[in-house]
Amino acid sequence: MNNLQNIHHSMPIVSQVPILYVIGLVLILFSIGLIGVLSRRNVIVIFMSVEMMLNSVNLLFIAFARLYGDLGGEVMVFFVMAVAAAEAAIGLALVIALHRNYKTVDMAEVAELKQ
Amino acid sequence: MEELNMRMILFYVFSFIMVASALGVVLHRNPVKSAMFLVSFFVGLAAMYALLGAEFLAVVQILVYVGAIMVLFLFVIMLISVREENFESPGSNLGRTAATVLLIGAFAVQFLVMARVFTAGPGINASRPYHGSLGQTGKIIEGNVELLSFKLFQGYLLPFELISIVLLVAAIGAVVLAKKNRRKLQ
Amino acid sequence: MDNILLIIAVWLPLLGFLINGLLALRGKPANQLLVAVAGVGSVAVSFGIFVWLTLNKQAWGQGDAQIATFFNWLNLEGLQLAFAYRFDGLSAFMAWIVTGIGTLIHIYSTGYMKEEKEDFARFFAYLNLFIFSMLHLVLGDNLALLFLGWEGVGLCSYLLIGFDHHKDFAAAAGKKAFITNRIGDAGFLIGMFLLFNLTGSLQYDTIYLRLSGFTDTAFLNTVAFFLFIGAMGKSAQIPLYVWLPDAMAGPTPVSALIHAATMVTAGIFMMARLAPVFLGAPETSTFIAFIGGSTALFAALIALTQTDIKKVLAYSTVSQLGYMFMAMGVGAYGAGMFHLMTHAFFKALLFLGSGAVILALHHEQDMRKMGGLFKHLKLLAILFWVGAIAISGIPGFSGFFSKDMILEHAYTHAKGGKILFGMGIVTALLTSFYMYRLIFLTFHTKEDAVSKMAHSHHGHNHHGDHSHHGGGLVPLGWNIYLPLVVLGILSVVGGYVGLPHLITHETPAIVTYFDKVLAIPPGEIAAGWKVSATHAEEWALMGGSVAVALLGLVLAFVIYQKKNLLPIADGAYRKPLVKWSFHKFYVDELYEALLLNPIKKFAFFCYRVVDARFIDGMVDGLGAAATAFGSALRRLQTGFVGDYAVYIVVGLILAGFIAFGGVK
Repeated sequence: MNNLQNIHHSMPIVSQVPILYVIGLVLILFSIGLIGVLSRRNVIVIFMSVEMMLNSVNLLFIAFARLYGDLGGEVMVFFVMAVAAAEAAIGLALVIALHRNYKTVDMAEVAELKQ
Repeated sequence: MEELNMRMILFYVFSFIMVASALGVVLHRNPVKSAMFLVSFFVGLAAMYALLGAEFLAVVQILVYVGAIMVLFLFVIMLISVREENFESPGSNLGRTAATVLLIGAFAVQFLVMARVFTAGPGINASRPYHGSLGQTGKIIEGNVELLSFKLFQGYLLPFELISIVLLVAAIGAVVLAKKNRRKLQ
Repeated sequence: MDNILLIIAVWLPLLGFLINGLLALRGKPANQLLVAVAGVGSVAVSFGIFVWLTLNKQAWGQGDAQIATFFNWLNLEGLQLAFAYRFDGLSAFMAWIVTGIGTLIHIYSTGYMKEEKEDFARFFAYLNLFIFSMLHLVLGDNLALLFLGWEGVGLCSYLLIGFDHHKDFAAAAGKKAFITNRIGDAGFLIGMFLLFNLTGSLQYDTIYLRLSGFTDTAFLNTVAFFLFIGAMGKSAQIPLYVWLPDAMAGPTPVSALIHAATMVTAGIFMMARLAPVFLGAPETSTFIAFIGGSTALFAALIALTQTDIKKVLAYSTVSQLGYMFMAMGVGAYGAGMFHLMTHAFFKALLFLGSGAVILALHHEQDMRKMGGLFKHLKLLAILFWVGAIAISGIPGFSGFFSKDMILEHAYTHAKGGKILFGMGIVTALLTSFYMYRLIFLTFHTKEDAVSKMAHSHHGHNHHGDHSHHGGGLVPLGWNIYLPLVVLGILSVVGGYVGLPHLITHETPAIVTYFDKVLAIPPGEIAAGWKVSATHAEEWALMGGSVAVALLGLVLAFVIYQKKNLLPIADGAYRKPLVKWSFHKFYVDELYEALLLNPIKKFAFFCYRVVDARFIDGMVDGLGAAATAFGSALRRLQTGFVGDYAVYIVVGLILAGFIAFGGVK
């Protein structure tokens, strides 16, 4: 409770974005990404949703790096981006391989995990 | 309520753009349009980075995501030529969507609990200098890009070099995966 | 040094067991000389060590026990158990009997079992294992070791009774012995637990120490009662005696060693070992005396009409064990142990002698088919006479001294002494009668067993592989006669350690010895337990017991020698008492009807209803529930990646709640 009140009282200070607002935004964006991953069947859209989740977490890193005045958070975002680039390359290659083998990108039709 | 300052106004604007774009990505039936919404999402995110005082990362975000990754996405979408009749009908996954929304409720509860625990400071001051910066050189550097570069190349040199190997491996892996391998298929 | 020797002496028979056991496992006839050397040698050396230790021992008082700790067995809070052996007056006495008679019987067995080519090594392996277990029973320094040996000898007894395991009756007799003993063992265990509860230890010295000054007779009566139940089983007393006569299915040396001389006396030994408990329990002791007296009388009555030579001796053993319990029950521990020793001598002699007869007659055990053997087997007949005289209580032979001592103590017992004496004297008459009946039927009737055999064996020659046909007797080797002669001598002279005080005017040596060894304070027994008897009465008692012994001899002579009345065919008896006696008073049938059938019915109920319906239903139900649960869970396995992603998120959130749910 204490923290929340502190944040509330500090609202009027110029040029400050309350951390809870950022957290709320990240929560919303991450959740939308999660919904996308879980409810869509097109593997490319699922993949895009994953990217959104990844990026929303990045935003959280930056916000906290600012909040605590520690650049480590930004360095971490930098690495996440690099890994995300690698992941995108691999992921899209997988999508192509999937499409070549199954002639579809609909995950509902690729129900092989049951076997 | 308190008066709105410029930074908060911008925060709301970018937030709106990002949420709307994210919903567009998830809800639109056409993958191409989803991808366009994602571009919008990334741009909004880059703007948010800048707003929070991470100028360098904002630029990198535009370059890497919008410039490279999204082009790759669109390229793949075009390559596999998703046709209109293959679009998902909205609500075909109603059950799973409902479950997801419930899960998100639980998730939100957790997230808020964690947020309460880990948020110590009052707010984010974008112009506040990072502490402990560059003691070795004795020089005070204000710019974000310079600070980050020092941090990166002094404290994280080995991971930085390793990530280049990761990228190399990923590039090779992508080629191997995407290559047609007729013999293996038969 | 002495301690190491003691441990070696106890473990040597195990070496013999291992050698012979391995030879037996090869599955082909082993070299008999090798088996005999290993089997007899290990026991004989063990006996030699005990002799040496005994000669080296300086004092035999209660506190002078030599205790050799082999290793620490259990070290728990509130229970320290050492694998330790206790060499004191009592255990030395027993060790001598066990290994001494054991050696003789092992030697005898090399002759008796000669024809059993395949099973020769197995037999000696079991015998050695028995000696090993028995030494643990008598030499163990705590009740746990005693119980270990107690169960070990039970196992060996089972194995040896059912030695001819392909014969149904032998296997059944083994099982009967084992199961009957279980009842006793349960009682013994309870007694042990109670004693442990009381004294907090299983080690004898500690028990003695804690018991001195403890006067809660009610508790001690309970302990003594349960311990006695164990003795009932092992030492074949009413009502658990039924296994011993059946145990004669085992080879005769086994009957001599285990079911006459050593194992069945374990109960008496146990009572002597825990004398302080029984001394503190006068009511239970009187109960024991009466059980012993009843058993003696009852078994003697059955022995009167049996026609199987070994059955007669088996019931005789039960009867004599009854005598011993009578002695223990009236507090005459020295007399009981004395009779244990003399009985070991003459009963081993009689059993081995009967084994020799059986062997000579091609495994014929029915006395009706014997007779006139005196002129063929003179030495054997003389030895048999020695044994019979000893057991019947003719003065000058060992049995007279020990039996008379028991009868005298019974007579002077404060509670029911006259009745006990009555039981004892009648038993003595019966004993004398059935023993001489056995001798006359076997050795002296006019009809000649050899010629009888010639007829009966003419048609069906079971033993075609023997070197002779039909008529002749199997020749008996020196290894049969040597143990018999030694035991015969012992049966005569063994009694002279306990010359009655009427003659010597001092306490018999053996009684003094045991009073010292067992830490029975002199006079304490006499205080509450004894009434005094005048010299005249004592002379009368002695005269009475000699008179009944002679009376039995005369009766047997008249009936079986003069009138030549052979026992008639099975079950043809008219007079009810004789008929009942022949059918062992239908005790087995009674147990069958009263105990076994209800238990069988209950077992059937358990099997058909409890097991088949309830337990199986429970198990099947569990299976069905698991199947149903599984088929419900199976729906989760859709095969769609998206669903699996949902499960991952569910798991993540649950993990998050566990990790952060407690944070406030």
